[in-house]
Amino acid sequence: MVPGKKTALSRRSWEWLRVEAGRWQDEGLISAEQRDSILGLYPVPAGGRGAVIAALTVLGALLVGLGVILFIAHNWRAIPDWVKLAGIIALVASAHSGGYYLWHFRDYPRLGHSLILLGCLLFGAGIWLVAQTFHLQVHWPYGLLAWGLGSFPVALILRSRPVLCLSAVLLALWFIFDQSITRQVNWFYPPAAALLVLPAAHRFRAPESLWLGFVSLGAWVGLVPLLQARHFSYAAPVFIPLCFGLYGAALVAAGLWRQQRFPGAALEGPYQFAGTLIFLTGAILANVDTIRRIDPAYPGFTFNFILALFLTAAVLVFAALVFLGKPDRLDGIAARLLGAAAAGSALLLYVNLIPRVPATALLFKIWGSAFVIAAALGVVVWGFRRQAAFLINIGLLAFGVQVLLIYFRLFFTMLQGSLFFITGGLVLLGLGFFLERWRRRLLKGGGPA
Amino acid sequence: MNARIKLRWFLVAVAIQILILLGLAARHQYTVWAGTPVLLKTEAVDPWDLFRGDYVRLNYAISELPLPAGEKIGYRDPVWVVLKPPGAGGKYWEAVAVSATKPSVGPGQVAVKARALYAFDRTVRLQYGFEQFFVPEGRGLELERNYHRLDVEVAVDRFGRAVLKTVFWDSKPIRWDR
Repeated sequence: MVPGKKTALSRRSWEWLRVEAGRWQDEGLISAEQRDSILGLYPVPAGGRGAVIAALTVLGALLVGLGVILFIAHNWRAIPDWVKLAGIIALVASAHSGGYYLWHFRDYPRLGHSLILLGCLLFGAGIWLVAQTFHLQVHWPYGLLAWGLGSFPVALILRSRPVLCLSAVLLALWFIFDQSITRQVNWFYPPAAALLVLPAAHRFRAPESLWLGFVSLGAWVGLVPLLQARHFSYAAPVFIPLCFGLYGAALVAAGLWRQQRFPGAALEGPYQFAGTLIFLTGAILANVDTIRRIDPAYPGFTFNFILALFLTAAVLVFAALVFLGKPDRLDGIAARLLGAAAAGSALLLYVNLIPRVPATALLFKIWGSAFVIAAALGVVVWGFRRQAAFLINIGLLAFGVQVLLIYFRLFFTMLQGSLFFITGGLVLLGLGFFLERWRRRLLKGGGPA
Repeated sequence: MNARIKLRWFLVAVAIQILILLGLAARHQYTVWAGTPVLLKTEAVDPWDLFRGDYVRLNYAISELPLPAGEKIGYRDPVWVVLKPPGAGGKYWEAVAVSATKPSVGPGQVAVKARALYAFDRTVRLQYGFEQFFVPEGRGLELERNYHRLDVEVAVDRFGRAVLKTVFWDSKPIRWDR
């Protein structure tokens, strides 16, 4: 913990600490002063009735915003165009000025904040109103871009997490729709996210916007191969898991570096969780037969080398960075699991490179499955060590998905239809029982939040 | 940031939003005021958009044009179309040239910029940006059924930007406030 800085706790954890500290005091383990000192280490989290008021007012703002958008959609042509424009500008200005007044001059921060959010929603409705009024037919994702960029300064100046979240969503939608229409990579989204959304999310300690930024960038990274590789599109999907793997590993690495560089810094979660989620998604996708071209006669086979090479690199980075810091027994187990997967990958690649000993499709299948299972188990152990239930859950999920993929691969052609489904159902039930028991044991043992 | 500075910057942020709205309208209005009026023959279909209201998608005689030999045009590539004024006894402007680069135009002619939707069999399908005409709820079908009675006046400015100016029904401007 950085001296002088208070580490924020979730509402639930803070409540738990408050109750437990009271119990320690009752049992004579600590004095009343010590109890207060312990509680004083952590700021009282916002929540409770304040959160209900905030939720109600934000919901109110969203409903009014949606109502105005639908009203505009009704296209009431009886109002002259310039009156409509003046009307929407007046609405935007009123919502903003009313919100600012209530927030800063009358001490109604939640209501004021919600009116500011409403102002930004009305601004977006205004863009569409202008387009409708003047029959504009520009490339419509630009409307989302203008909305997102126009809302961003408001978020920045007022340090508003909801408006920042709105801006992050709009910028993400902009690149998604822009790419789907133009069928070209939108090269402007990564700088927009890196220069606007991510720094602001860090500055305002806004995990939701950081999640949005990371996941949107992940979607961008995953779509690049499909859009760029038009001329060899049959092989392009192979690069999707590769991009996910590298990007996820990079996120986890950045998060761990940040944690070491600035101990006690907030927002550790989005780095670790989003990074791990994206990394494991990439690893599983790499093992879906339609993506992984396993036929050596197929021209895309060479891409397996690239894929395997980069995934090996990713898993090595992952393993190395996950276990930076003081090693303990669990670190050792997890590191060995990930390390074994990486070593197996490297060996397989080496064998493949010897012309007289070509690796078979079966070897690639085994390698792929072993890789995912090792990575998933490594994540579970990592989550246990860090007492992070989310990491344990996504590790178990990846493990379960991979077991199902193996089942489908092995038995789909071998078993008769009814037997396949009955066995599959039993495998699922057994897997669910096993994972639930394992998860419960881990959570009970470590007690992660 | 002290309260006064914060308020000042907040006003700047709100002003940016208002300027974006005004800028969108002003850009359109500039073309209407400064552009050359061009009358086009149209057809209409009737799509609908939940968040933007009822509108008709207008098709023009110049929406599909023959591609000159040697021109290679792909999806969303910019395309320039040169329009000439109607001849004696004529009413509508007509396309005289199509090219991938900005052409020089003759006296009285205008060059309008479009985007290629697709090119097939030496024909290119174009989108000009004045295809959408927003109408009150439930009126789109009426226009679609009577598309042969519609004419459209667009304005084309010196940059090749074109905007929809007026839609005529039996040569009279459509007004919805009747």
